[in-house]
Amino acid sequence: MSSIIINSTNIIDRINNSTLQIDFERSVSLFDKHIALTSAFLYFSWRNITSSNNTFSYIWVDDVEYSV
Amino acid sequence: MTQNGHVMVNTETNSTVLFIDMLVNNTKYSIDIITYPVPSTFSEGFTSSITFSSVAKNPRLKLPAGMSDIFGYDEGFTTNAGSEIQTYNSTKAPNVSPDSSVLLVCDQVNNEFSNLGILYAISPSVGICSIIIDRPSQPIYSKLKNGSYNHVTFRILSSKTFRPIKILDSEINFIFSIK
Repeated sequence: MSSIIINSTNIIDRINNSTLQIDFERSVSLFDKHIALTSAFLYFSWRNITSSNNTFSYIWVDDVEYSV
Repeated sequence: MTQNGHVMVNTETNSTVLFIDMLVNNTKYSIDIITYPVPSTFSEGFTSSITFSSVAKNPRLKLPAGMSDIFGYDEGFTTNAGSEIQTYNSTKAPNVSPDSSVLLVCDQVNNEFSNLGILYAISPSVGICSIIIDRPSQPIYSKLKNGSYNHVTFRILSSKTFRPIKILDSEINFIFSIK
């Protein structure tokens, strides 16, 4: 059994910080191999409110719609 | 509504009267929406910049996609016009945390039941901005695609959209075992 550790230095998508890659010095055979997460440490730092869910509106009594 | 001048102010207490309320209702697992009729004339003791309509009328709240999920209503939900107090309960479970869990995916995992090589789901059991420490009680092994690789790629995806989620804090640490 082998372990691999990946951390912030392995992030390859610096915009989202959500794609991580470990590069091997040489090609590694993964024939008949299995992988499992042993432990995870990360901050709960993703937004619940984004541009896709941050607005609603109301129609006032003059029938004009106002965004909030 | 305040910015648009769609409020009334009690001149005695200086309290503001709003015509749409949204309240958490724990008993009904709902975010209740209450709309109140805007009067057709000034009520005594109140001041306002509202241009009153000829009849009392409720403002209508519209919830587009995304926001409707948060409040627990169908997409495009709109309250009714009317001239009396109206109350609405969520028609589905409100989801104030749309990404209440994230998926850990490995591109090299072979999963015959899913195109995504899902390894694990991480559900934060801590408050926002706190560290999530997740140590599975026992490792759940997934088969890797046979072949030789010079890298292994992992992605953290939204469990709702299956798209990469934007993580603000890059301090991330995963340990995997391969056997």
